Amino acid sequence: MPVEEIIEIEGQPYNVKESFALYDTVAVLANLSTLSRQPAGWYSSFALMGAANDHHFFDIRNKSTTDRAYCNLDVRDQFAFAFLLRHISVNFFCPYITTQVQNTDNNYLEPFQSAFWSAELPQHCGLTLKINQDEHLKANCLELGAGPTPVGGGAGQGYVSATPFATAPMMLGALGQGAATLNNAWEFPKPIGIPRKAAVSVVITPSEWARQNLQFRLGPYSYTFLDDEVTANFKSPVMFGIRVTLHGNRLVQPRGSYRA
Amino acid sequence: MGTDLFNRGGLTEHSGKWIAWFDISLVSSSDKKKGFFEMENNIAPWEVHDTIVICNTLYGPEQSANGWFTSMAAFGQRTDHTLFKGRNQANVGLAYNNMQSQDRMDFAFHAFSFGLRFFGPTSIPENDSIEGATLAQDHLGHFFQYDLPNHVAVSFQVEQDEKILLNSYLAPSGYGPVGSGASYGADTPVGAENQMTFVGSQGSPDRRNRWQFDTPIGIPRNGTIEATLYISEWARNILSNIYGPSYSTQTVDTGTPGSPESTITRFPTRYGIQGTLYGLREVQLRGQYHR
Repeated sequence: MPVEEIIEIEGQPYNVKESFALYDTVAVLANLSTLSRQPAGWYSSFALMGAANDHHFFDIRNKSTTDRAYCNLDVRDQFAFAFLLRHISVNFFCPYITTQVQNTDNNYLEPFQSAFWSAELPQHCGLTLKINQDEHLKANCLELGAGPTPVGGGAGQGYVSATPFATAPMMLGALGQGAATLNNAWEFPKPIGIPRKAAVSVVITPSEWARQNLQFRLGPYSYTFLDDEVTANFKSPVMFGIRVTLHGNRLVQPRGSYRA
Repeated sequence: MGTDLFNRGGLTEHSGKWIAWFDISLVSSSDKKKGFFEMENNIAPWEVHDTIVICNTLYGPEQSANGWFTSMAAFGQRTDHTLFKGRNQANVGLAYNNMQSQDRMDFAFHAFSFGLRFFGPTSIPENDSIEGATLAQDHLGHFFQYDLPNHVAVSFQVEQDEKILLNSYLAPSGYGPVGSGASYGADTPVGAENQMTFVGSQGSPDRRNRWQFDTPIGIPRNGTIEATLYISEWARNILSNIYGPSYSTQTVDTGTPGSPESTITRFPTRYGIQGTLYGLREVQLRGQYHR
């Protein structure tokens, strides 16, 4: 039965159609091991991420194994409700304080990784969308659009202080992939009906060049902020991430009318 | 469909409009023959907003505002924050809230879209209040407005139903400043240090760039709504350990001709997260109040 028809069945409970988005995230952060939850498929270094051939979404994490900011799935490997898929977007987000600092005594500043991640890496990654056994999309990640990203401007100061980071010359960026609107997403010509409990997966496959590039990189490094004692700088690891979002309508069973 | 309150009044739908009616004897004894007369709610575009503010100085009634903070550390220690649930206009001022009730809708409302905006100071870096301080918070505003939204989820709930659960960047506000920043490279100590400006928004500040509900969500008068922000553990680790918000600075010329002198003055910077609902409200006409 087409999923659209599930909305209204005479004499049967009906589903409520709501606009919704499902998203899942792969992230790279140095302090992954210190978090209370270490989501599957996340990495503690660029080198480890570069060693992986591909990265999976929507079939490995849920909002319990990950923070809700990064994944809003109820079930790790099935859809919790019927869904009409209308758009897909991929956002390579990064620290927008684009100068990061190493966790070493020499306080080496790394200014280039955010720009590489957000503006260069998507060009070198492919994406496959699979619903049950069918491939519905195979595309370059930069083609798909990122949805809303930072808009505006920031400027770093050119001052190099003798005191490490006290007034360190940070570069501030507003990076994204395309126009920063919700409409900036790949649109399917006709909504794809995904039944409840279907298996959906998105796989991002970096090119050999991209994987070698990631393996070559050190980091990710850290932010530096003035600590709450106002006495020193507090270093905290930054996070780079790839968030895939499926936009569409969910068909929700009304309260008290749950069924298989 | 509609409600009938013991044949004395209620709401009924007529030609696509909701009409409120009641027994005229409730208001007048001169025209009982009619039995009832119709009245309509006035329908008008409206927005409902509420704000969480983080600022080291709160003014007047703000000091008793629920869910406002005087430091990032205090803000970061909470796992979640709530909008539309604990403040009203009298409590925090119209710029931050336009609700009369702290936790119920003042009128029937048809919600069309939802948006979330993270805002902060445009002048960075920030200094503490100590004259001659050598440390400054250089880029907290940038982190708060650009980085943090990627690490915060937002849910919106009407009565008992959760309507959305989204990453904050997926619910852009559709409004905000645009522009760019500028700096100069002078090598001077903090206090008269290099100033940076930062102007930005989450997503293009275009009114259409908001999270649109597929069909308007009807919220009854006195209904409850709630938006909850969930900050990730990674972000809380940062927020709960950093200093601020502190102060923006300006240099005041206090010298005389031939004797240049300047004084640094400071004023608290203010950060916040504002949630907005756009839609139509139904307002009861004067003299025709009903449930």
